[in-house]
Amino acid sequence: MEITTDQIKNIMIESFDLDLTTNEISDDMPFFGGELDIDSIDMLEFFMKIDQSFDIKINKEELKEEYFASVQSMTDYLNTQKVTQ
Amino acid sequence: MNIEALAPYLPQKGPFLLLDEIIDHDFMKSVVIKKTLLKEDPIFKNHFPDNPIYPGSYLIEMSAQAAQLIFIALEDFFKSNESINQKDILRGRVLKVENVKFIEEVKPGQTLEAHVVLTQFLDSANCAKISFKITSENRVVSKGRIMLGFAASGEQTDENKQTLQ
Repeated sequence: MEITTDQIKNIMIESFDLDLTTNEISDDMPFFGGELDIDSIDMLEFFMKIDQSFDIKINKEELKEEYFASVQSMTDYLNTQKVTQ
Repeated sequence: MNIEALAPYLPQKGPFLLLDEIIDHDFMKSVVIKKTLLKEDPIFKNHFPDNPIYPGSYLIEMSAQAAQLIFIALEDFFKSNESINQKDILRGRVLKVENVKFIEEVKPGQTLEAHVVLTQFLDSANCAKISFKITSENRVVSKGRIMLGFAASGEQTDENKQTLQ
């Protein structure tokens, strides 16, 4: 089963403590520089929830800026990790 | 086990080491510590002069200090009586506290137990989550969760070594 953008949006809402619904987050919303005011601790929270939800262990060293460009790009990246792990 | 043998290896010193005794320890799982709040503890002089109460922030600190013990293989240490290699101590610092409740006021003379459980350890991102519950005479006085961050292995800088703050 592929991870969906809606699943990622729900994890974002929880991790970043957002007062938004999944409908209010677009697939092309960037993690940084857009309307989300998130910091490095929020991102750790996000990756811990990703680990809990999908058993994907994010390696901080391997992260690239492009993964954070949008919800879609993050979802695509996590789907590649799901396959390799 | 008394904290004295371990104290030289812990970064917190003097009155800021908020642990008296380790009651139970399960490496990478959980720890229970005990701390008796002495009436003469200087914190009570000023917090507050007319109404001494142990600060809630100290209860969080106590839990974080207890949490650091989870990451030390204490059984080996006490069995072999060997000294701990500083490198074997995974130094963390508090990144986030969540859902912390101060259910009862804590007063001088009370003996506290901090029950700390490792709920998640994400090695690849150098962070962990613990939940804590502080009790006094079997009543819960405080509880919550703490996220800890660790220096990546092999790159413990002096800054990172400052640990649990």
